Amino acid sequence: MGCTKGRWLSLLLAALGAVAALSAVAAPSAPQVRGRELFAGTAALRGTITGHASALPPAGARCVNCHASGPAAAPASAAASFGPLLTRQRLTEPLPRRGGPPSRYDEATFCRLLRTGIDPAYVLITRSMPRYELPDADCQALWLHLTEPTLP
Amino acid sequence: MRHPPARRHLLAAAAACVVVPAWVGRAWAHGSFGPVQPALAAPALHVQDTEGRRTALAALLKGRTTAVQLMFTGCSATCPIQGALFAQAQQRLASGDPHLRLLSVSIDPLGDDLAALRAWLARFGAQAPRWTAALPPLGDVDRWLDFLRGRAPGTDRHTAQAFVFDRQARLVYRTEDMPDPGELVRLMQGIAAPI
Repeated sequence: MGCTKGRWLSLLLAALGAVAALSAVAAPSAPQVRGRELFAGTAALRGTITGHASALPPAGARCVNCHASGPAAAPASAAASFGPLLTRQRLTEPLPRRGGPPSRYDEATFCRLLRTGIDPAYVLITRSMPRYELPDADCQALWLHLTEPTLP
Repeated sequence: MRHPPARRHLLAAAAACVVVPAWVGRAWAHGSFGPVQPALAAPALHVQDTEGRRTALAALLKGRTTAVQLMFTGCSATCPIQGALFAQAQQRLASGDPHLRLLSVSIDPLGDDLAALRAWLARFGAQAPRWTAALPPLGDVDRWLDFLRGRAPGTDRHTAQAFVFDRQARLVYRTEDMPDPGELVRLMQGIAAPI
């Protein structure tokens, strides 16, 4: 009898855990949603090509134009992605980038790159990537979207 | 030494188009940018315009100062930016010399057709005859890329430069990748102006 009760309790806890996990996937936070929208271009980003007098129209400044992201960005798609794949693993693991020493991103270095074009190893990225003017909250939202992706 | 005004404007625009640091060129590992000296006559190849007419490239360029960009409609990376930059240039040219033209040339005759090119132009608000597009035959794409030195590594396969032809249909200037629209227009005006 005691054994049966224990089994029921375990099952109940497991079910609660599963529900909690599903809820986390099903209900992304507001910043995650914002990050997803900014990445896809459904929310506008203000980006400018270095040396240009005016900003690009939002359609030209979308991240998704050049980058694949999230779990769907399998290594096999690397050849088809114009810019680096932006997965949690690729961003946060130490990797040599652009001929520099191994480096990893955190939120601060990610935001610095978006704004100035300087990567975590202090290598300047290509000019074809716009430099972005974005508030801290939007930068954090993009970082969250890339490192803690949610289902659309 | 004093230059006449037209020459001064041309020099200033040219300087602005190459003032971007040298790492820009290295980043793309493409051919070159700056004035083309001596100017190079357009290669003897034919293209289809967006109306479906087969035209000699030289005939399309002759009598106008034309900024040419390479693109293809399936390109999602640099081409949307290139389209946006030509759209901004078109805006600046709106009330200007009608002989200043913009031409987007596809490098993907297999993936692009005239309808796709027209839709691509429409997406950026291109207004003929100021800004049109053309499609070379598959067999001429390599020759065209070699002539312009417009190849680039990566999925887009082409640089994002503008290639400026003078009224004699000669290539006279290769800009850096993604030229500033204002500087591009000034460069075209300088090239078009009698010196």
